[in-house]
Amino acid sequence: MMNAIVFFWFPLSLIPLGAWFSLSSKTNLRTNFGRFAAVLGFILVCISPWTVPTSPSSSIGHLLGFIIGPSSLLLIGIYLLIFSGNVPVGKLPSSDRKLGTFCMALGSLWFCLMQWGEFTPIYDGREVNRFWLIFFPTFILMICSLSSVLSISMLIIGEERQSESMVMRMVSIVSIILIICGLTIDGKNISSETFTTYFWLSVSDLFGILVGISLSIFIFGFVIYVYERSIGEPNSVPPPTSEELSQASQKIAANIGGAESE
Amino acid sequence: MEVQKVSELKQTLNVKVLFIAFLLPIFIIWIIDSSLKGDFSSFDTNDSFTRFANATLTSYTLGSLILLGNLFFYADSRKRPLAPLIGMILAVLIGIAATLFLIGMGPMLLENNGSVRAQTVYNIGHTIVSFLAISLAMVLCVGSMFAALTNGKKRKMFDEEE
Repeated sequence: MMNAIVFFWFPLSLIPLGAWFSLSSKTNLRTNFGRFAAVLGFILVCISPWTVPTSPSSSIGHLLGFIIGPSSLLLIGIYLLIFSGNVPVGKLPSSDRKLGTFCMALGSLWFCLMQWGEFTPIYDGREVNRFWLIFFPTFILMICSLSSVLSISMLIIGEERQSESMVMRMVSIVSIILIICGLTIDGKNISSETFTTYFWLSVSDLFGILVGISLSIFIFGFVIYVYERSIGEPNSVPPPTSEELSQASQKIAANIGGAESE
Repeated sequence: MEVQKVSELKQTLNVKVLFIAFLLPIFIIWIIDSSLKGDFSSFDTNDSFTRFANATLTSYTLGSLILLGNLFFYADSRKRPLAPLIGMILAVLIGIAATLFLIGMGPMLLENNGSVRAQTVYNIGHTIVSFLAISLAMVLCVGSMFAALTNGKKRKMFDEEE
């Protein structure tokens, strides 16, 4: 128990704490310290299968080590695809689009091989990492539903966005096909029956998370609302004097005008 | 007044349409899965309820904890008041107490775990992995949307003056 706290849970808590520290600090030293703590925490969590092999929680570190490769490929691919297009700043060469598509395809293939092929995360050489059985269905289900929402929202909010909406619809359809494949085709290490069980559990999980997060946001808003209501109206400031008004008009007059644009 | 009502109605309708768009793929998968397997019992309602309840309790508690941290930013702009901080600490404590109490009630919320502590630790690990999967999926979907937008043909925003 103590080993798990020292080598897994403490490093895991360092990741959000370090990120929070680095984002909220105004000095360079504290920002760098926050970043260092977050990276150190991440490395310690990834090596937890070796530091605390007896703890079941170290399966999370094992999973992180397995998904870091395909996830990085997907993220790099998306970055290249976005910035090789028509962007006003930070535009990359158009040739990077092909590289981005290649990274995306390779990342997706890697994830598929982890589900159906030989790359499945096997923990301790015996059984499939149980957190992989949670991660993959949730990941693919979220892509499926979210891309469907984005497809419709582009039609509702945007103007003449039919082709972009079609791209998102295609993403949703491809992920539906992948889910159907998981529900019907046995992998090398994961049977379709196991995937079916975990897939429907991930649907419940997703709704549970949405309800829980919405509830916590509601409570947060309610606490702020009650406090703001209790402090009353702020004291109103006196109207400006004639001296202040003349000073303001001088400033405005000095800043209005300029050369005519060609 | 009339215009405002129509606008509000349109907004409510849009939210409903987006909610249906979120659920639609799940229904399609359910129908296809049921048709292929010949029955509607692919998911166990008891296990699904247990998972839903555990996910709700854990994500509420973790979400409140993150928002409690967020209150420090709010406090910076409000002369560090104690009242909202105490309110949020109370919300987190209620979440923790409800989780421990409901898991401790019996087998209802225990998922192949022998004790309250084991189930609580498993819930936290499970929620962290789910958060990771949801975050990665969100980044990829929003990224794909931006990639589709930036790779389309360049649009003329305003008609140039002759």
